[in-house]
Amino acid sequence: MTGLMEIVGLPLLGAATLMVFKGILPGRMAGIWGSLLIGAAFALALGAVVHLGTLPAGHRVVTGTLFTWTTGFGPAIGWRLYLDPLSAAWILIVTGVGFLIHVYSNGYMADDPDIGRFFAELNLFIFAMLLLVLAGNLAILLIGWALVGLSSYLLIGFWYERPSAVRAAKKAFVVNTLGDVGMLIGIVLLYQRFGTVSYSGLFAAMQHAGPGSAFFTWTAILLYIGTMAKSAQFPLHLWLADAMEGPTPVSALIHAATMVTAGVYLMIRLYPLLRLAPGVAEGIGAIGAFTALFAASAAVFQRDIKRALAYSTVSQLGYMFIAVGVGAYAAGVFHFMTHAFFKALLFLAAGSVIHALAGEQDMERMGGLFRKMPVTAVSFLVATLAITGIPGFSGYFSKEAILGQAFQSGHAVLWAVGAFTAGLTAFYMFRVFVLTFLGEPRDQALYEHAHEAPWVMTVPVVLLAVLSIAGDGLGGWLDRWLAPTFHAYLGAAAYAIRGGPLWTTAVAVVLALTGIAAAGLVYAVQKKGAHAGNEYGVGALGLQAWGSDAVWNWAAVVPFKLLGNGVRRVNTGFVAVLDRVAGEVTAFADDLRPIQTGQLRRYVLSMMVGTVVVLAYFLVRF
Amino acid sequence: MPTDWVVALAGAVFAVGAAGVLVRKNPLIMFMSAEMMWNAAALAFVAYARQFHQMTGQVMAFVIVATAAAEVGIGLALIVWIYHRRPRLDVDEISEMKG
Repeated sequence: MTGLMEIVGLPLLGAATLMVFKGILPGRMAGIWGSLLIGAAFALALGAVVHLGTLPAGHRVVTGTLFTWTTGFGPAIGWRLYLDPLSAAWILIVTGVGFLIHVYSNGYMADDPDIGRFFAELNLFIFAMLLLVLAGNLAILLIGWALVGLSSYLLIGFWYERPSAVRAAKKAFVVNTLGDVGMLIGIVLLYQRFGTVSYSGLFAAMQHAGPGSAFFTWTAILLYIGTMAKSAQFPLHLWLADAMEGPTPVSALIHAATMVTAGVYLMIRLYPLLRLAPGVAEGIGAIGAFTALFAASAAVFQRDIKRALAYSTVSQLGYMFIAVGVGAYAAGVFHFMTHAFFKALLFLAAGSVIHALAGEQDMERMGGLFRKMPVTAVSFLVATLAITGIPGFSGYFSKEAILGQAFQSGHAVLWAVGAFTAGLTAFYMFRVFVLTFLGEPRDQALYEHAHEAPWVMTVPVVLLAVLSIAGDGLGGWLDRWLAPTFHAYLGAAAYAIRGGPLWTTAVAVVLALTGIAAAGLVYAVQKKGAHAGNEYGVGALGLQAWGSDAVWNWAAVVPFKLLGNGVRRVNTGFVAVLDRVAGEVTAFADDLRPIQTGQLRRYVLSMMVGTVVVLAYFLVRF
Repeated sequence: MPTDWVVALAGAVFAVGAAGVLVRKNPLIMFMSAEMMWNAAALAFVAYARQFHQMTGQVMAFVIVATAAAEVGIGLALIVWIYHRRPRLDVDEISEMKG
């Protein structure tokens, strides 16, 4: 086991202790304790990964079974933890970025009376996420999968006095559960067919299968439905923007850096299955590309700074699924890591802004904040350049790796959509940057009160900014690091990180620069506000993500409500009938009440008469 | 002595007991009447046991004696308890359990 259980256990310990003692612990202590445990988990994770690196390349797996979970139906399923180079990438990000966000939360949530519960739930999330990525079989993965959904639900609804937060939490939970059902069915199908759910067992069995069978296609589709819900792929993207009702560190950790990438992890983990269902892989790539474009186009119109970033997250997840679709797995992991850095940074910097403006999230009331919060602004700019794909920043390398391989593998359309989306990304990200930090303040009162965040918030932001620049160095390392995982089974021919032809890169960069220039022209030179263009018409539709909520309402929510109302009416009628029967029985019993006189001698008499009658009957009969 | 006579005696004692239970209001007297009914039943058992040369009837008589003894223990305790709480012993007055 060598430490895997401790890595998973520390956050669970934190969640348990904080839940029990949150009433006694002062808020500061709760934050320090919660952050400390995640820091320790990060140190342990780092140690485990270093240990993993010392193993020979062919056997680079640390695994062990804690105990047997299920017996009695089919082969037993164990609580198996499993660390290989792929899960190593995830545990480093989950604990590392998670630690930074925990530290940041000490400042951001300092004034919240419920800070103990906040850190308890945040620790619970880290535990669930680590369980998800360290699971050694799909059953344990599903437990982590459901638990991250639960902690996401709890944290979106953290401010449960707000009706909108409660609604958003419910929406996220329902959509995620929809996906969980698909996953569960997929896993059960695999279990029935192969009698095992462990990765090694399943993949070994899949080695001998040929592509194209309906069984693998359907299993892959079912598992992808779970992925879709968790990673906000079209058409199950709609919960993520609403999830911004949670505190900003939650948005940074769960809804940007880690949880929403669980789907990417699952799909890359199951690459031998995708080999057997090539059509599904193509579909994943196509949906990913569409999601990237769709979400980016919605992000252009957002007024709320966090919603703009949320749609940008959906868009970037689309890129990762392009990578999955074309088999560029290492590039997908690379983009996951750089995205975790720069998107967490964007959210934390946005959180600092929101904190400074006393909770204001509307970009219409921001502006000119560069002078007030230079550290935050510069960090935000670094992240913006990274996500835009400007050469020299980490996002450029990871995005180019994905797009290049999409092009090389013959998916020119996916490449074109991705490159165009890169231009859109540049436009909406610089729109956010200009509206927030440049120009004249549009709300003087808020601007006067604005101040730079305390050090406990700026330090994680600056560290993430450094990582957003230095993250490009991860590419080459990841290429070598992940090789053993993808060499173990068939199906990952294009895993290695390769760029496309030079002109494809040039096109993407030129598009990005055009986007930046356009955003500068509209929002810095013409000084348009955040409301410009989204009050009516196309813009208003874009603000609502092209009406996807309305479509879902019409297609799913309204029919279900009708069904529910119908069932309720049937139930009401049924209960009314029961009520009438019960009323009749009661009335009859009331009529019988006088018989019970309480007179002992009357009872004895009736007993005797009864006995005599019965005896007389038998006497007459025989 | 023919069995019929004995059984007739048992029937008469049973009827007297039953009438006593029905007619009297004092629970102690009712109790004694019930005791007579017990004994009438025991007498009938013994009579038939002698006629058919079966020990089962004799055994039943012993069972009746033992049960009656237990019943007396509980019944007398209840009657004493009621007498503690009420000025008079009259079963017609104890009718709180009416519906």
